Amino acid sequence: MSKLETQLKKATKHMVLVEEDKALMRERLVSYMEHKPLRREPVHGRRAATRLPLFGFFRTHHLSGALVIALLATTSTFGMSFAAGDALPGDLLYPVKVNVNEEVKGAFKISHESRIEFEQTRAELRLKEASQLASEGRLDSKKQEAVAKLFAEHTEAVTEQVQEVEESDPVLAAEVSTEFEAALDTHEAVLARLIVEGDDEGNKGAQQLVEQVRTAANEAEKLREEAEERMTDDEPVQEEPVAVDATQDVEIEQDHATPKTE
Amino acid sequence: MRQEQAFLDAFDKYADALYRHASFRVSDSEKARDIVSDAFTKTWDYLVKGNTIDEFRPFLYRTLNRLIIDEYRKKRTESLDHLLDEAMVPEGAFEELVAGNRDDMELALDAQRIPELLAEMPVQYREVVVMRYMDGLMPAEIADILDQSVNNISVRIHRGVTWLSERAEERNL
Repeated sequence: MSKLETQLKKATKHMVLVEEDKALMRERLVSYMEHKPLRREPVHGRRAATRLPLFGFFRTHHLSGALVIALLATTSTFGMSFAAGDALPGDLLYPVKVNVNEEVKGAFKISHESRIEFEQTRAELRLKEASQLASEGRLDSKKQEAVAKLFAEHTEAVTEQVQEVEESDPVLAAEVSTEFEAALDTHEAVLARLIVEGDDEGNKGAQQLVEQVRTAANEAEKLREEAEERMTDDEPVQEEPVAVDATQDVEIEQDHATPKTE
Repeated sequence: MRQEQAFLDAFDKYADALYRHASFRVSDSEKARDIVSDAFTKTWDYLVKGNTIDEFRPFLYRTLNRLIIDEYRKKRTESLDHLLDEAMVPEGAFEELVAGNRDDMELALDAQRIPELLAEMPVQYREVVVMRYMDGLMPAEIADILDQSVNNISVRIHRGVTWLSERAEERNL
């Protein structure tokens, strides 16, 4: 190690994560790993089961005793919390809705089409939640950031899935992109209207979200165009039917039949 | 469970260094924390897609670097232009490297004032000096992470160290 390296390392060694922050970051990472486990290779022809991310979530999110009891009291056979179904950003059970309920549903979406539909639904749900909050004047910057982050994740997931399926099934890619683009246009209009009709404080969050929705709609349009281009490339080239001139053939035959005489 | 354990081991081993690196690059400890957290979740996402990672350290630094650039884009500062402008290091500048190895030098400055001096460095030098002398990465590794030529990286490191040395002397007067 050079002298300069030793000197700089020594001078900055105090710049580390606070122990508590590092521990919390690690716990969240473990929870994230449990929500999105690695795919396993099939064992003896059977598909390895996807672990449902429930106990890891409870263990690592430091949920209060009252909350845990509330969740356990309302869980179904499949471990889903119905109480979280209508939660909005900022509500106590909103993380359960997004990180447990929705993730569990998503674990059963196998085909590209179902995954695309699932992530599109989630993206639209985020916008509906934001619209509801905005209409009530409750879309502050913190909630807006939370919604924006989730919306970006869902739209990114849609884009990835559409790009994966584009080569093998450009028709599907074009269809879903068209639907998603139209849905985003609608939500953009709803949010824009809320901005116009609402107060300045609630507007700020909605304004930023509108811009994000616009960007996502442009991206969906781009995916649609790419898929449509691929559809055009994949279409078999149809040869133009050749018009047969019957009279020309007859003349040729006659020429052969009637040799020239000098 | 090997990949999972290797991933968590990488967190335990590199989280602090990545945080320190990010702190100097974005000048905001809270944002640095978020960026480091994102770097690890994105690395996990990469593994979830079925990929493997042989060496976590360069992968994490590459991922971190991309997130930092995204952060610059959000702020839309001139830092991004400097960061991405490879043309600022003309080919003819390589003779500077011949002037000699700067590794043996030490800054003539009190240790407590070094972090603030590093924070003041122009971003195009700070990035590579932090990677070389705080993260302990070699120029070839830095070049791979930043997707630039080794010569370019070496010149920037050299200029960065020169900048540090000159400023340290000024402050010590």
